[in-house]
Formats: sequence, structure tokens, C-alpha cells
Amino acid sequence: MIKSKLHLIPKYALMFLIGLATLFGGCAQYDSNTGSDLTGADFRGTLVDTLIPIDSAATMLVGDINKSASAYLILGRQEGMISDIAFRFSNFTRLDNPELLIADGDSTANFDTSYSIDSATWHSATLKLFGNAFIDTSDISPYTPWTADIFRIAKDFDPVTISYSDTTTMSFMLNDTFATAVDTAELEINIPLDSLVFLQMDTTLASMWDTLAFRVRPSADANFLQRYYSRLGGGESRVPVLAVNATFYLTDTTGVQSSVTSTVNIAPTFNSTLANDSFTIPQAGSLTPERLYVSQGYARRMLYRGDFASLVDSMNTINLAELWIVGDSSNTAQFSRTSLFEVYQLKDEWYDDPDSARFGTSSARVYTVRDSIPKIRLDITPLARFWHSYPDSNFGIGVREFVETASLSRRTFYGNASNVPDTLRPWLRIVYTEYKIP
Amino acid sequence: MRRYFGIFVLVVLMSCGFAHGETIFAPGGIGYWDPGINARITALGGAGIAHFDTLYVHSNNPATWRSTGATRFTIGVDIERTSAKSPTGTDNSDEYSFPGATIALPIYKSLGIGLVYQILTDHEYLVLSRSQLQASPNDTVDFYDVVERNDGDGGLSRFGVMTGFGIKKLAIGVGMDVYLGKLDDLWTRSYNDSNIDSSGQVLRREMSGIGFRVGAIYSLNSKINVAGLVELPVSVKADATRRIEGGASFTEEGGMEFTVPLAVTLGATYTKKRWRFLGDVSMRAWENSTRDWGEFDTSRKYTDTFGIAAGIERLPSRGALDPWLQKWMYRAGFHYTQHYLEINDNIVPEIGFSIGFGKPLKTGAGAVDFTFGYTSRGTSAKNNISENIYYFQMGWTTWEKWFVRRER
Repeated sequence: MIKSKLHLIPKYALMFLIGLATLFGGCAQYDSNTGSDLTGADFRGTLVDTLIPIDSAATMLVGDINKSASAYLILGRQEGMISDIAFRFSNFTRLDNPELLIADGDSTANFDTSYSIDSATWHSATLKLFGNAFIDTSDISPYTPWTADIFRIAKDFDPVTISYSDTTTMSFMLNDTFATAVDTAELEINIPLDSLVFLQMDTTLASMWDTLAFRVRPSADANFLQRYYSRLGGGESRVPVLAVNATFYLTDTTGVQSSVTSTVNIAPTFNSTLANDSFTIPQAGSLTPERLYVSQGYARRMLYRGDFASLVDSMNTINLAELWIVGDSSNTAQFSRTSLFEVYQLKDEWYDDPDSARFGTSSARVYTVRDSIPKIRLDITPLARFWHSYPDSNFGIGVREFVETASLSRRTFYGNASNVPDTLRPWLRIVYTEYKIP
Repeated sequence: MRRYFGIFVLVVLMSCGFAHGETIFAPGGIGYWDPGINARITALGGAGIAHFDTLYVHSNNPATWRSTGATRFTIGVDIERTSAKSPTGTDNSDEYSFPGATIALPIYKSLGIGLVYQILTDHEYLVLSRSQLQASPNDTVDFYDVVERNDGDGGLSRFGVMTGFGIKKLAIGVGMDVYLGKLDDLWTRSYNDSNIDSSGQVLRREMSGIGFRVGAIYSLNSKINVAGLVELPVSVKADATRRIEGGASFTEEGGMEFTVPLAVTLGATYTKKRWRFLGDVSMRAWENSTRDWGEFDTSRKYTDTFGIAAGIERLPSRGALDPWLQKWMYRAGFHYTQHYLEINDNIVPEIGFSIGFGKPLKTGAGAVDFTFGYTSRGTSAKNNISENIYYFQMGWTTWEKWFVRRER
């Protein structure tokens, strides 16, 4: 006899309904503001949004910084900025390579390694530079001829420390007149052969050439600053070179002699831009509203410090800390305005001597500055939280160009002196949460 | 038991991860006092400490373990829809919860022993509020969205060992309860911008305590029982940790104390033919409870609570030829109680009505009980906050052959 299972239907139907409700129902919670009166005001944090004035602000002068690793060299004078280029040529081994000897007017090399170069008659040595673009086209005088002094500098100069002010090893060589600014796409400077020092002849031509070091300085206000490719940024065809033209005398393996007049390009082993800025920052306390300066090439940095330790209790947490600074976009001291800044933690006191400030860790954030939006918000929340925990480590922040060596530029921001209107001076905005202390 | 093992598992799984429900009155103290009881007792308004029989036990009164004829499991599930209203708005929540379970074992003659798991307090809540923060000083255009969240979790539960025995017309029971619980109060404020760090704090209290209870039931005659139950004060120790999140943080650790106060319940039942009337009156002395919660609870006034529960039950017919509807149990109940915290300087009343029925199981003694109810908590006039709860509760009481009382 088959036992009926109809009596199980209600039970299984109930289980099915409950299971269905579990799968598709779930638990919904209260999730609105209802009942907020009961949650206990004591257990909520109070949000405080406040502005704190900056107690210390200054411009730090760094000066000419090492630009030997830059992709560009800058030459010229404009709006107080002046930029020299320094070279060192010490590797002349290309002069011993017959495969590089291409006859002038010809396009193919006619010699291979079976030939040996016996000697050469030197005809000329020309320093060649290949231009990229002007730094600031807005104020150049395109049709003013310009000149430059060419100096021989000590061949053993330190490439790490050489700067614009390093003039003790310079000796004047010649003054060269160039065309106008619009013609500065390529520069050629003839180096007089009689100014070159040839060493005792050895077994190779390369060893005849002593190390050569030059410095090119515009001698009058050329009203432009031109960017040239450096040995790192020009690729094969646009690196600066010393083009040596000579008649080379060769002998092949069978003893047959031949000659060829050819130009061999020698690449520099070192090149750098050496910059100076004759712009003078107005004295503190002068009538004009105080300004701070940040610049590239001839570097300047801005320093700020605000103390919020007395305001934010150690029990509180900092949600947001921002430094608001206002740019002075109409200031005539601005030159070639760049737009990327970086914020650094400062590691020591600098208030009496801003030039002694020590930069520490970067915020790893880059801030864009636009003339149309002169106010910049610099987020320093992680730093502020660190200072909140360790108030003695608060030496403020430094603002500098993202890449100080990339170009020459100058930008101004309002300072915090008493002659600066409240709406223009820098402010520290702190948003923090207060908790009730049991 | 095996037959219903699947149902048992399903019931436990249906608790949806929450052994507690949610109520707008959960913040404060150790949560809202809302002990879980089985579906039958709920249908009777919560009354029943004076009643004992071979099928049901009352999880609060150990004296009801006296007459267990066989091993009994009671388990249940609670499904609630709650609507809350406050001056800031209205909100709804749906909950599955697991109110508790009991096991009753007959040991020898009238001696019964049992285990109880019961949820006592509900500390679950979630309140969200939204505002805005200016993106820059004096900015009237750009804002950050700010979300503030108050979140509560946990509650207090009780694991009890009950024993009851009878001497003629008197049943006496004692029980030892282990109180365990964890209360979390979390507050956070977050912003819709990754540049702004959120902040928040959490207070966690892990509680434990041991309590005792004594109950007695006296049968005046075959129709009337009277009962009394005393729950002795329980000192609950709490290890408290307070942590502030975001930026500088600290942990405050220390002990806190809380006393679940003395409670006294008096009850009576009257049974005539197939009708049973039950009534309980209870009082708990919350004003005397000591509490050392730090500053987070000082703003609330504790008040003694008073409760009344009344129920009526239609017992099943024993006639073999009676229709199946006559073999079911039907119940209705009413209760009134209060919250132990005053809100808006007024007591928070709770009033509830319930109806239910029980279906005996064909495959042995045991029953499936269903209850539908409505409870109202708080009043808009006096508390500014009120809550309406609609619930369905289901319970199983099973009969097992592990131990069967052999009457001698």
C-alpha cells in the first residue's frame, strides 16, 4: 500500500515559503535620520571648520641649481634673467675612426677599418647648437641683433658644483655677434684654432686634443631666452657638437696613401645651463604688499608655517588641512609662468634665516596653477595629522617648482605681512572633529 | 528530532545573521529590554509564569520545568516590520530574529532540568544624517557631501540552566544564568572626497555576569495556579574599549559596571474546561541599577518599569471524532510595559496585542505555534518618538524520546 504523503504538503510548503522569504527578503535596517535625537550627542564628534593665519612666510633663495641633467640648455637674457651655457669636450676618439670620414659634399664614407689615419691638417672647430623654443615669447625683441662672449673655462671644473657665480676659472676668448632672435634656431660659434692647445703628437689624433671647456654668455640684453637641446635631449642629430673640419691623411694595408677633407662631430662630455636673476625682491616692510616668489632655474622657494597645536586638542582628529595661497598674476615680476608646484615638509627652523630651510619629504602631489584661478589649495592633511601627533616637528612646508631645472621662470604669490589684505594673504584651513573627553 | 532537523537548521539560518531585531529605542543603556520568548507565550501577551504542563515551559520561570514529561525542544523565529517616527522623519525596518531556545529534560520523578538561551536586550540601530561642508572658505557653490552614521550592534543575552521540582501542589525552580553580551556604539563622519579623511569613534563593551532566579508555582486547586518569580540583581562587568578613528587615535580601556536590577513577577492562571486565562504582573527596579558607563549614558534617566500581561487560550479538544479545527489551540493576549529609560523626561510606554494558534504535531506530542501581533512603543506627544511593530512569530516545540518521565 502506498502511503500518502499529502500530510507533508503543509510542512514543506511552509518551509518553501520561509526559504523564499529568506532568499529574497533579507533584513532592512533603519537608515535615515529618524531617531537621531536618541543616539546621544555625547557620542558624536563636533565638526569644526576654521581658518588659522600663517605665522611665518618667506622666500628662500636657492640660486643657480645644477641643470646638467636637463634635456635642454638655455641661452639668453630677458627681464633680469640671464643664462649661460657651459661645455666640456674631452672625448676626441672619433677623430681616429676612418669610418666616420665622409668627404665634404659627399654622403658616403669611403674608408673602412683597413685604413689608418696618419695625420691631419686642422681647418676649423665650430661649436654648434640646435634650438627648440623660446622660454617666453611674450616679451622678446625678435629683431634685435645680439652678441655673446665666449670664455675658455678650466677644463677640470666640477660639474656638480659649477654655477653661474663660478667665474674664477673663466678667461675671455672672443665676442661673437649673432643674428636676431628669430634666427636662433641654430647657432654656430667658430673657435679660433690658435686658441686651441694641441698636445704632443702621440700615436692617435684624439690624444692630440686637450680637453676643451667653454662658456657662452650673452653680453647684452638679447631680450630673449632660447632653449637648445642638450647632449641628453637632442637625439643623434640635434645634440650640441664641436664640429672639427680637417684634411685627414690615411694609409691602407697595402701602403697606399690617400686624403680626405671631412668634418667630424665631437659630442660634449658635459653641458649645463648656468643661470642668474638680477630681479631683487622688495625689502620686507616696504609699502607694496609683501610677495613671495617661486622660480625655476635660478631657484626660489616659498616657505609657510602655521601653528594649530593650541587650537586642536590632542584628542581631536584632523579631517582636512589645506594651505590656501593667492597668486599675483598681474605682477610684472612674473616671467614665463609655469604651473606645476610641489609641497615639501620642512625639517628645521628657518624663521630667522629662510635660506637655511631644509626640505624633507615631498607630498607626492603636483598642484596646477592657472592665472585664471589665482587661488591655490595645497592639501597638507597627512602632514597636519603628523604634526598633530608630534607638534614639535611642525616646521611648516615649502613650495617649490615641480622640476626646478626644467626651465627659467618666476612667479609671485602674496605674503602674510600686515600690508597684505586679508583676502589675499595665505591661510591655513583646518577641519577637525572634537570629541568629548570622558 | 531528526524529522525536524531540517526545520531546525532552517530556523537558525533564517536569523539572517542578526540574533537581535532593531528598534529606535535601542541606543542607551544596554539596549532596549525585549526578552525573546516563544510563540505561544507571545500570543498570550507574555503571560504564563503560573502555568506548566507536559508540553510547554516558560523560559523565565524555572518552576515550569517541573512537569516536563519528555525531552522538549522549543525554538522559534521572529519576523518583524517596524515603523519609526521622530521629528526628523520616518523610517522602516524589516528583521528576522531568533528570540531564543529552550531544552527541557525530565530527570527523575518531578525533577526537571533545562537549558535556556534567551535574547534580553536589543542594541541594534542605524541612524544616518547628511549635511554639507564648504569646499573652500566662504564657498557658496562647491560643497562636500558629509554622511554621519550612528551605528549600534549587539545586546545582552542569557544562557540559563534551570531546574524545577515539585512537592505536592508546590513547584519550585531555581536557575543560574550566565549573561553575555557585546555592545558596540559606532559613530563615523565621512565625506565624498578622498582628500578628506573620515573620523569616528567606537565604544565596545564586552559584558559578562552571573545571575540567579527563583520561581515557584502553587496550585490552589485544579483550576487555579499562582506563581512568583524573583530575578536577583546581576552585576554585569564590562571591558570597555574606546577608540578614536582617523589621525591621532587612542584606546581607552577600563572596566565598567552595570547592574541588571531586581525583578519580581507575580502570575496566576485560571483554567475551566477548555478555556485558560493567564495574567502576570512584573516590576523591575531600574532606578536602583548602578551603572558606570562613563559619560555616555549620564544624560538619560532610568526609571522603574512596571508591566502587565494578560492572555486567554482555547485548549484543544480531546475527542477523537472532533473536527481538526477543534484540535488546535487558539490564543489572544495583551501586554503593557515600559522602557527603562525616560525619553524627553517621560516614560516610554509599550502596548501590544497579539493573537495566535497552535497546531499539535501528528507525529507525536509537540506543536507548531504561530503568532501575529502589534506593538506600539513611545508616544509622539510625550516622547517625540514612536514605533509601531507588526510581527509574526513561529515556534516549534518537539517531543523526543531521549528521556521519558516514568511515573512511579
